Amino acid sequence: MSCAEKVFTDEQINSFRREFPILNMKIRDNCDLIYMDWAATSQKPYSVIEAEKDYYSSKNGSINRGTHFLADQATVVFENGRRTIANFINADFNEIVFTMNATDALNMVANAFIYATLLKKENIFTLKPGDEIVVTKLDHHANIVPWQRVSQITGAVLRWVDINDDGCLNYDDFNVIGEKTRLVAFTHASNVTGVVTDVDYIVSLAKKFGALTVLDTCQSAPHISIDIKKLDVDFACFSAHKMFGPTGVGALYAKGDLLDHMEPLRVGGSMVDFVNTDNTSYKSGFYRHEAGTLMNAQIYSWTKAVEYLSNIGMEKISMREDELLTYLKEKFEFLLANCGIKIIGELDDQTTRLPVISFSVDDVHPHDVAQFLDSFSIAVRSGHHCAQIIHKHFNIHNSSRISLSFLNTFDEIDKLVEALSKVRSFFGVDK
Amino acid sequence: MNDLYQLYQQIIIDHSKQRHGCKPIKENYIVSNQVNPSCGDEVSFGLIIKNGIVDDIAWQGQGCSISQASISIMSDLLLGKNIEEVEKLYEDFLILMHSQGKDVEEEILDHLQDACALQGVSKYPARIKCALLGWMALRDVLAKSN
Repeated sequence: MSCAEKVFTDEQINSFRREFPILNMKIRDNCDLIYMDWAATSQKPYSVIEAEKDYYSSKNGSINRGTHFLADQATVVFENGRRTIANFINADFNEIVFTMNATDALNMVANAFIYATLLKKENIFTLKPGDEIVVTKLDHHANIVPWQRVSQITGAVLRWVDINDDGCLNYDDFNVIGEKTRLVAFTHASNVTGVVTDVDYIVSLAKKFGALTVLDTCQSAPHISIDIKKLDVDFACFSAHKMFGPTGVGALYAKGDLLDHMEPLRVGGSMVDFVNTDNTSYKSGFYRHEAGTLMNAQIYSWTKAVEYLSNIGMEKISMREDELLTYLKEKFEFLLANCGIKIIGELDDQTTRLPVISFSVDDVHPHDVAQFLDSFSIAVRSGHHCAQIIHKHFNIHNSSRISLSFLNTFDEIDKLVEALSKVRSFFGVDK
Repeated sequence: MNDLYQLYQQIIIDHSKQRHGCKPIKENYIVSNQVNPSCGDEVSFGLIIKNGIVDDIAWQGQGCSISQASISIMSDLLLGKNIEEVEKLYEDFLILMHSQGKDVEEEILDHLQDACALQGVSKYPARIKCALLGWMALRDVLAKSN
């Protein structure tokens, strides 16, 4: 690939990489770490790491609870955090709730349905037996299991959208969306096959029948620019640790005034207006859903992660990752033809995808593949990746998964492919 | 790479393919089924115990080379042993697995014979469950036989 075509030069990438202490680690036999497990968790730049220390060193006070200097500092940081996250996805400030992680955000929405139904609230969150929730076989457990619980408790029925052998959603199955559909929950991008969903198609079907939509952006947010107004979903979950931010914090996006109508998942301090022995009134908006003291230091460092991404630019990040994926696909052709390796799904050129490839190696278990790659200091994931249902579709229990970020290099891909070409021989199964 | 060869000694790779003791489990066996949900590795493990001695072993399963080799090695070790010896082997194997790569008493290593080949697993926390899959089934079978 000539320099003229690349969106970043090698020097620029090396410069970015120097900002990540973990990417400069030597591991195992004093080898450079080759990190290809970004879909599991992202590594962090110094600005994010330092932010938490900075918060505790100079800004740690109670949020919205005092008029002293530190309380002011902390409150400004906190509100700025919400504004930064909202701007990043083109949401309104008051449409963002801070959560523990994306799973927590999805549970908040699920619980809104459960509580509304149990409390007989008679609003858009109240479900009755026979109401339908559409879910997909492509999704991560976080966007499946909460809806299974909703179904179990409320009597609503789950309707499943299947996957095709190419690893994409079977869009025809979305024709199950109809009068009975109350919610459609789906992923923006698969953490197994990397395919990016046609959100417009699903949202337009859902809106025809007044169904709410929930989007899982865990995989997409670190890689592609998200304009939540344009996507026009009702809910979306976000995970900080997937997008260069800290663990322990995520967000729920809820369109317009939906938050006012949702029963909160957690109750207690901060989210109340008046508390009496006889009754208690909850706040509205995002306050309603943020009980107790939040992970303020982590919100601050998440802010820095978002600033980091914005400074580089999501468009450039996407372009860089397309370059890497193209190169990875080219190199994989050899492995597919000669080394007993199969991709989960297919690597066609038509579908928009993230640089995520899950694969199996003939006669070598994914654990063994991952262990072998680890001896070359290459980090990949093995298992079912919290997506057992898609694995069942392909008649396997588990796979190995490569997931890249814009910070990976072509050289790292070369090393990966070279190692993979030797794995069957190491385990004595190449005949 | 040295650590990799230490983990995947030839004896382990051989056992993972040879699968000693792997055969259909008939009705008279005491059986335990174990699954590792995080990866789908599974084993059905059966023993016949006559007069307090392991008379026969049969198992079916699928999984990574560490899990399958461990079951195969375990099968060789158990045949013909009495229950007390089997329980001691189980305890010793646990010690080996939790040794975190540090030295283990010679006496235990001698007792475990070929199972010592799995000592390298103790340096890789994620693989300990793999090596223990069959041994968990064994523990369950022993509990059922009491």
